[in-house]
Amino acid sequence: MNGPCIRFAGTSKFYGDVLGVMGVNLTINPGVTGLLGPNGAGKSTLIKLASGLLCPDQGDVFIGDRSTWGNSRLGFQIGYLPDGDALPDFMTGRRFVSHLLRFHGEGVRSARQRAETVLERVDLSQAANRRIRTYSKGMRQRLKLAQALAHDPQVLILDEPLAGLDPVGRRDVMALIRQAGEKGRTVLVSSHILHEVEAMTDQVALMRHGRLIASGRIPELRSGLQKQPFRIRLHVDRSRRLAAMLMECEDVIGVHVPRATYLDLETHSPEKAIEFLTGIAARGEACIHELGVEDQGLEAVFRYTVDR
Amino acid sequence: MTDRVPERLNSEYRRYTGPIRSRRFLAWWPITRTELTTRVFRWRYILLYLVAFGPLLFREAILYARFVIAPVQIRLMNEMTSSGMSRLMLWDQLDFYSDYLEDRVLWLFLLLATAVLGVPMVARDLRTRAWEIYFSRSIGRMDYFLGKFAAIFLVLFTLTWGGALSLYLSTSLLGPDADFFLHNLGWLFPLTLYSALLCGFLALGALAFGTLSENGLLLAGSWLGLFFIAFCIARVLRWVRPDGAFDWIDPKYLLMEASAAIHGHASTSGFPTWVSFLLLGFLTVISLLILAHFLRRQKEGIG
Repeated sequence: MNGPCIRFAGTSKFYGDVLGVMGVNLTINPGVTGLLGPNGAGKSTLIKLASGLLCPDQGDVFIGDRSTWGNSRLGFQIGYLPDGDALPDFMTGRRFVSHLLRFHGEGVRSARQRAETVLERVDLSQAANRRIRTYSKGMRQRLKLAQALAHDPQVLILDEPLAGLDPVGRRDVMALIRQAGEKGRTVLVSSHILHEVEAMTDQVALMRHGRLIASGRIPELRSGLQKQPFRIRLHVDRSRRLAAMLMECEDVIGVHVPRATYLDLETHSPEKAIEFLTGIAARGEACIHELGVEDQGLEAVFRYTVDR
Repeated sequence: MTDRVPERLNSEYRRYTGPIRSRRFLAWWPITRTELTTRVFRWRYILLYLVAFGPLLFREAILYARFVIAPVQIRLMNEMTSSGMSRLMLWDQLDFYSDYLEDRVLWLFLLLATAVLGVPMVARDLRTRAWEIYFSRSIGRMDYFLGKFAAIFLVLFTLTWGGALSLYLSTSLLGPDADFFLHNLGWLFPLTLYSALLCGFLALGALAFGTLSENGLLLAGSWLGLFFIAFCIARVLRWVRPDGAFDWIDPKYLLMEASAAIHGHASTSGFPTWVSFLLLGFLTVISLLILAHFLRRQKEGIG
């Protein structure tokens, strides 16, 4: 079953005079969506609004057709991973997860079984009976993920889930998040690490200064940036000669020759430019050793929209 | 760039018709259970609980001696009468049971229990931000506070009301009058009322006090300090006004005056009974206002 969508309807939140988020209109659909932005962009505020921890000052936030604020029954559907520590140090990992499961009305035995299963999924079985205060940062992060996944919620709201994890832990957690998205859960993940978000999803929302500046699939967002042409870097034998030929192609809007064997071209239509290059290579007019479209990923989208 | 509506937006997802856990009557109980099983019933507090059971065990021993070990009775009565503790032998009067609720050792336990167990309950959650995870569950803010309140209240109430009830049952079982239990059943009402007032007042105060800072240790110390300062001021003012007109400053006298009114025995302080209830009500309102302020700050995201 697909999870419900999270909908921000003109949502604003102010901390006194300070703007948290402003007029956000966004729909997060089933699947994984990355929430990106620099520090202070309002990502955590948006996440807390979505999980019902904060009350919006303007607009509203809905999960399905239910407002998240003051609707504690929705907690049954939400798995929330906070960015802070948020763990009671005096409990053991197993007890913590099973106690939280019992908040949803699980029986003692069923809660214990579920806790076992989810702790195994996040690779914490060995440390399940240890007090949380003895856990490393990575283990704490995995425990937070375990409590978010334990009751098999339809909506997962994860604030910096990869923070503090080692490379193996990151890979495992990313796989769990991808799996949840593939199962039809609605997953909202905030992160600073662009390539990891890109590895989990191509659906992103970008924030800056408390405002949502873009949302959608990465290729669509990139192609929508008309003022920012794609840059293709070529490793060739004779770059100047190829540059002269490329100037004849109407899809190429600029050519730079940084070194004798390298050539950068700018185009709004990389597919057509590559087709043109393929023709040249096929006719033997130039020898192309390497070709790469340099700024078509999330990093480029982030740079051109958020970082400008 | 303006907000873009993603292509895969599908309006059928907008309406969620999946399962939603129905509101349970005891939604706060998981919080109470968590507090009781993980924080209250711990070996480190064993000494505290032994102190708490002291007054009860003492009175149970007196009852046992009075009714079972007859030869001891005379000597015990003589000794107690000479040391001014003759009220402890009045097992057939309500005072014997209400005295238990006013016992100094029990009062000390109540203060220590609220300081050690009650006050840091919310403060610890604030420090670790564990409340974020609780509130993202099917736990409302009121459930959260109700659960915490119930945890403190249950501990205090078990020791106070439970102790008084146990004395009453012991007298019924050991005493010579077989109808004692039924004849004096009415005593349970004032005992229950006063226990609830005492425990409810302290539990609510401790809970509200616990929301003032993230530092549980500082709060616990301040909580005890407040009572100590009030006690000292009341003692000093006793020298100025020996009639006890300012005894209401000491919370113990405040509660003892309420106890006297509820149990129908003579007042030991020098201020009117209505002052006692007025101040208890005022302090309760202050506690509720502190909790409301805390909830508002949580809602605003500045807590």
